[in-house]
Amino acid sequence: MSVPLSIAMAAGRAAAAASRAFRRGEGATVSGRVILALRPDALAQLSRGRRIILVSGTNGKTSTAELLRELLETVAQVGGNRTGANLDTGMVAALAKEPQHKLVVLEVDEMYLPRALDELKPERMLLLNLSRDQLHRTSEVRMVAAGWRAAIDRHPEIDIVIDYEDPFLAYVTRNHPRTTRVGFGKRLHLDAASCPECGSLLDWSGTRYRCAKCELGLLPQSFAAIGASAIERNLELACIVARHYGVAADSVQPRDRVVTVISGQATLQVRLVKNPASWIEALSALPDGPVILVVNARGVDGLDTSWLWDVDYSTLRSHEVLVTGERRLDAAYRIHVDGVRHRVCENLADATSFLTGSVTVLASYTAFIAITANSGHKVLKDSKVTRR
Amino acid sequence: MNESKLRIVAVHQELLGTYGDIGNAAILVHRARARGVSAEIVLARSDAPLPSSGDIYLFGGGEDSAQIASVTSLRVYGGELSLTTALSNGAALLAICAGLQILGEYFPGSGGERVEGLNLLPLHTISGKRRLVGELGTRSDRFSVSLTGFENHRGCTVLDEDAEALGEVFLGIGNGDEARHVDGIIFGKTIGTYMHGPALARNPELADHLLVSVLGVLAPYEDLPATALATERRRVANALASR
Repeated sequence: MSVPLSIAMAAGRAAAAASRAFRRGEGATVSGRVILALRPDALAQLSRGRRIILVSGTNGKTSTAELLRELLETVAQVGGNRTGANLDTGMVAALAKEPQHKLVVLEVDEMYLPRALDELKPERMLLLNLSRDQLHRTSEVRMVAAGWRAAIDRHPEIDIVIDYEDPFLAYVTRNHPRTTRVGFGKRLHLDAASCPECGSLLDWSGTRYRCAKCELGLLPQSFAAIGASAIERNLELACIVARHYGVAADSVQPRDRVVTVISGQATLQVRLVKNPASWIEALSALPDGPVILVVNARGVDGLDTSWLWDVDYSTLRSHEVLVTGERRLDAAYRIHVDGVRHRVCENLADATSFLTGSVTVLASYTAFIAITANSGHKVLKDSKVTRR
Repeated sequence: MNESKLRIVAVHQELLGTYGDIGNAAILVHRARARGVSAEIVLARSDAPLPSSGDIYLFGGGEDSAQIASVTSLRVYGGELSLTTALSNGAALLAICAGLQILGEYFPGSGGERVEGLNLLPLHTISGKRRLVGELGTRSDRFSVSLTGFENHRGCTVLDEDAEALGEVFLGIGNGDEARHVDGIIFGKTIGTYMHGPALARNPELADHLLVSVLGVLAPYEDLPATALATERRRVANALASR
């Protein structure tokens, strides 16, 4: 016999409080783990009677979910996994923490999405993009997409919003009757030379990809929107979702995950870059001034650094560049081949000791977490990026 | 070699470029130019015939469906003949992971079915029991240093009995053939390996081996960032192997 849900939730709260007391982080994962150990069905139970909106994709989950919550909070109280803990443990913790909130926005890890659909029974889902990421962990993007497709086919009742310019999202929602396909204008995709559905070469010569064999990409788009950068597209998509809840969404700024950290004489604008798509995005809009690259290759960063070679670094040639992180030599050699002069530093403190003023830091996942949370640097605030 | 420029043909990058494979082309150009040899990358797309005038051909890694699209294109556009012509004219070839499998006699499709390869290399590939992911390290008499890389594959490649492997595995799995704990193949001027993605970044000696095999002689060149990376990865591989 299992313990009552209320007892499991109390145990989770106690564990989270203990974790916070010992400064081991927010406690979200710990609390979720305890609740799930006592009640393996907690995810389904805690979502019952609530209106759940899921946000998933390779890039932009946390910032877009946050944006969506902010939009929705203008009309209702909204719960969610604000810390970005996006596996079952993090979602359970978020649902247990604020049981009074009937409307909940949850970001979900790509690999976990199929189970989340089955257990949470969301009413709406926003899919941002799907591209190569941490190949050692998530396996190849086509395998992830196949899992999504099967899960989405099982849930025709959900309302889904997708960026239709991503062929993988077109593929996963192809048979789904309640999908809003938002067109942004043609954008090439690193992993979609061949059709996600049938494997033949996609034709990218027209206004959108299309597959001559299985006709992927031929369904009409629901409507067209404008979004030159990923940040702008995610804002647009969040607004489309929010409109369903009565939000007139024009006041919110696009959001980027940039954290300001003061280090000695330098003001670091720290940005998370975790896979080729996010590197390309970050390098395309670099502010003037020095740039520090921090590359690690621990589990969540991807153990394999080969993706470094998927990115063109030539925009760095006009910047002062410093390289650090556990895999600094991989990154240093990579940009050397692209003709970028740079200095290799033992650690971030060494790198910043040369610098004053505003410095852009592009950091892989574990480096980003370390710099913004545990480094002893003072974290000012999440900054907002204004619309260009 | 082509009289004017070293032509490095990156084959079907859009299909066989899943793991930063274009890096190998960039590294070969970089190391050739450092020796005063002009070099260019030729992107051979899968919707057109493969040029037969290349000096070094690069086949990279890719997913199952992309791998099959690539081999289908090679068949449709006579890529087999282009490659045979190029190789008999003295071209070199680097084949990684899916690319290596394509050049063998056959390999498994996504459902495990047998797909015919180009049969240019004395090997074949069957489905392995599990996905092999992690650091890979090998040694051989051909190179004065060990080779290191990262592998991520499921296929299990079996060399023909008299075929020479690229190296003996001291860390990781390599080809995955239980009878021979080796990685890759060395066959004429062709090198195959499961050290995927930009294997040449971590192994400048392998890059120079390919360049020497088409240029004959090569001026000495030490590229410090390359040496630093290769040395560090070898140190890490040795440490992992002795754990």
